[in-house]
Amino acid sequence: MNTIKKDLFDLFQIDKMPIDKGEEMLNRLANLVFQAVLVRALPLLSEEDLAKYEEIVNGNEGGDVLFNFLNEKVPEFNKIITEEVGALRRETEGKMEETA
Amino acid sequence: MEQPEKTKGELEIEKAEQLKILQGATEAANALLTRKNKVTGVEITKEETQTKNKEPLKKIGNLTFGSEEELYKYLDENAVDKENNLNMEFFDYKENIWPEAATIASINKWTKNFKDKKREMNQSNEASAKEATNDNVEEKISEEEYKEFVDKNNVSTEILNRIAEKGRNGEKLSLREQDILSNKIKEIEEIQKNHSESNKVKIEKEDEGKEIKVEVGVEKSSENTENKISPEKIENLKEILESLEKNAKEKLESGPLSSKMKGLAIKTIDKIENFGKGEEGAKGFAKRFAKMAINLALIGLISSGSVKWLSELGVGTASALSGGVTSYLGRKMVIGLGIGGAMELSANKIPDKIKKWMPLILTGVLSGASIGVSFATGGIAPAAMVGLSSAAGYASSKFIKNRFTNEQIIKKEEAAKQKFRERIGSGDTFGVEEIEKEYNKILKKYENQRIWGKVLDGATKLSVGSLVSGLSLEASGFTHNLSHHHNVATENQKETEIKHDNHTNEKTEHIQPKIEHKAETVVLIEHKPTSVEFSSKGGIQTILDLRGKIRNDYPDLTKAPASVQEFMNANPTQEAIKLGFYNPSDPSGAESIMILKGSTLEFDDHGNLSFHDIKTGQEHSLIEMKDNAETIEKYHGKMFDSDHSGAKAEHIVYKVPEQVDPVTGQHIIHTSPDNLSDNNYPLMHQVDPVIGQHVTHTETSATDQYKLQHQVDPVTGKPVVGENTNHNNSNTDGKVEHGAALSPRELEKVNTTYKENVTHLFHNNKDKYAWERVKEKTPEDLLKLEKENVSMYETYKPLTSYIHKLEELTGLRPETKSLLVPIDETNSQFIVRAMQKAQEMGQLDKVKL
Repeated sequence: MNTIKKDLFDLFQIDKMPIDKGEEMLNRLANLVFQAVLVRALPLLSEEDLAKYEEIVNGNEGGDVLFNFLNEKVPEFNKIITEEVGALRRETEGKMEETA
Repeated sequence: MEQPEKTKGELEIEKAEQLKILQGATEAANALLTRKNKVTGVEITKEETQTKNKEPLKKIGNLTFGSEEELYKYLDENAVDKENNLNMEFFDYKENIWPEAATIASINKWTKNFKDKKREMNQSNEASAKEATNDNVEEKISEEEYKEFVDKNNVSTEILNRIAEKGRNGEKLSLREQDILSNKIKEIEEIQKNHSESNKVKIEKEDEGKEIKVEVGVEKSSENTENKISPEKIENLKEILESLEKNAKEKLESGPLSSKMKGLAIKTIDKIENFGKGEEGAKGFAKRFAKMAINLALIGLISSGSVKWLSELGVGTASALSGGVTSYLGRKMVIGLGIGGAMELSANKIPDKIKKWMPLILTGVLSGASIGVSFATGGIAPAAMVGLSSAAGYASSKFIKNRFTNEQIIKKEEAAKQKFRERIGSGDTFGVEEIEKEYNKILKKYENQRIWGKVLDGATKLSVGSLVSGLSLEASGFTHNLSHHHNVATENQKETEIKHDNHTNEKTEHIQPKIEHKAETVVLIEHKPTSVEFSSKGGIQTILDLRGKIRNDYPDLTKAPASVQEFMNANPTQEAIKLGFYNPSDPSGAESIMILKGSTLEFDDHGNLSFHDIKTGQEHSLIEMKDNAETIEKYHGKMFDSDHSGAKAEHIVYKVPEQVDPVTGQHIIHTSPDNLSDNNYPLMHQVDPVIGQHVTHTETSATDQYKLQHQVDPVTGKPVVGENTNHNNSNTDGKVEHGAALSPRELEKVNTTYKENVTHLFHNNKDKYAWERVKEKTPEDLLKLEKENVSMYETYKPLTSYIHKLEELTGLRPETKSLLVPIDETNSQFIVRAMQKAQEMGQLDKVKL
């Protein structure tokens, strides 16, 4: 039996939606992943780093700076992202099976 | 002057002379044919000879063609390969003897026609390709209007309307219009939206009285496009998404984050959400594009679909985020770098449907190269680079294929070296220096190709993490570079060349992309083939062995190919089931795969997992990465009941005695994370029931077999195989895979040590439920305590230290949940698993407290 693993993009068929809907879906999915990542990443920051992070969030810096900061300060940040993407993918698959 | 009319007699003489000439010619022809027939052994009938007199027969080998048309038809079918090129093997005269000069002449004629046709076709393709680009679209935007846009970002409503209309109609945009589109995308989309609204929906009544919606305008065409999903399906997906959002919200609210952190998390998401929103101009575009790239990266850009989608955003889609600029930039980069030539890409080899987004692909190729080589230039359209770097992967997988694989490069390199040696041998005069110089040239050329190959291959498999890391690039660099793309591209090329030169003498395996911008750490996937021999302890242990080796090979697992990462995160038992090495549900009890010692399990450098069966010499693909998607092929080999009991050998053999929690005095009730078996331990030895020999190891003797079948529970004294093994669920509350090799006595030893250690860790604690509180928590939860509740963390500090000690000694890490394992490994589970591993390593004493 062949099993083809799909990522969230494929599961939600984003490329098969009108662009605006695809973009919206993409944003919302990305937010879900990022929220889960933050739940795991923020507690790993030291008090000092957390204070700096708060400054960035409240300041005028762009989202890229936030990513940069987390990437630098959170051990295995990329791994956390990868794991959370996987977790959401699995949760999505479960939901889809439920509704199928 | 008119000639006098010939008499009847004169005419008859003339006719007779002509007949004589013809007869002579026929005889000569027949004589020639007879000679040829003797050579070829083909007999030609009189009728055929007569036919030949009308039109010479064409012959290829034993085949005879009555006419040129017949021959042409045959050539059309046989002398052209699948790629519509001349099949040179066919034209090898050694294989196909064409004795007739006339046949050869006909073939030459056919070949010429074929080449002419092909040339015409290529020209036509090139013309189509040119037409597909926007170069030849009439430029309606005047110099003044364009200057006004470039200098002041002012564009008249008339122009905006025109671009919006072109978008609606699917017409091509001129280069200036593309530039404007990318900067005024919001305004243009607004115009399109208003247009759609005004035309929106009219209701028609069918005869039956049913209402049907007829949508007009772009929305309609969009919805009706082939390969699009229905609005109902979109709604369904939205519902699923809403449900996921609801869950996420609940998790956030009830999760371990302090209220301060929760606030920060929400603010962060808002910030990302608003990234680039409302910002005008190319800078705003770049940020929005970056956000798109962030989003794609976050949900897993490793997908051919997502890459293609991102690429196609830029081509001909009026409502696309930005493509005009990107494709324009891409085209200019191509010009600037001549990258098409560098990549040995020939336009004729690219399918038409791909041609339309080729500029983007090439941009991606360049981006991939830039990532691999250097960001020292400050980045060319860095935001786009992040997203499109994956397009490089798409390009490499679709077009470049194996052109830059080591095998191909080595082949070419060897050929070049051989040619050079021949030149030396042929008497060309070379000094030592010249030889060295020439030879180095060859080395350099192929080393460069290896680097390109690495870069492209790396780009193919850029991990999610690396893309996110790439987001640290400054999106704003785009604005500046947009107007200086040519220069920057050239500079970048220089940079590339310099880097290549620097690496010329290094081994390919050691080439690591240099990232010179401190904050812009971009991780490229490393490709290392990793292989293990099948373990005598079975498929699960083999998987664990391979994981151990991978862990050594990839200290940073995020650099491993996606399939390897997935493999590392999976539950080994489930992985064994998935791959076909273990089948606990086999009704006949044939649960174990029969594999001969010496067979191997290997991840190749592309992340494909295969099993090499030494018995048959065959290679079985198990996990294959294709177009960045993972395909799992279950191995269907011979299975057998390794314990001859109908029980599941990988899991059901040994039981440990009931356990009592040393703190609470209660029985420990545990549900195994994989829900397959509780309190079960794998069988070590597998024996071929037919031949009676050990399958994966040699050390097991007949005595061992006897022992296997006559194991006695050290506690109950009863045999442990078969029905009698079904004890209650009392357990060491740990995962069992690593206990695969332990005997009941050893397991008992682990169990005792575990109890003693837990007692030791908490015996001085005032809180008598301290262990109870955390034993079902994860090691990660303990770490969180450090940040959130220092006093509680102090309570569990010894436990945390002990877990670290176990990690260091055994190399194991707590398992995190995966597709098939619904929960994370708990503290108690991990401790037991690690202690079993320590016992296996003969170092249990070292983890005794």
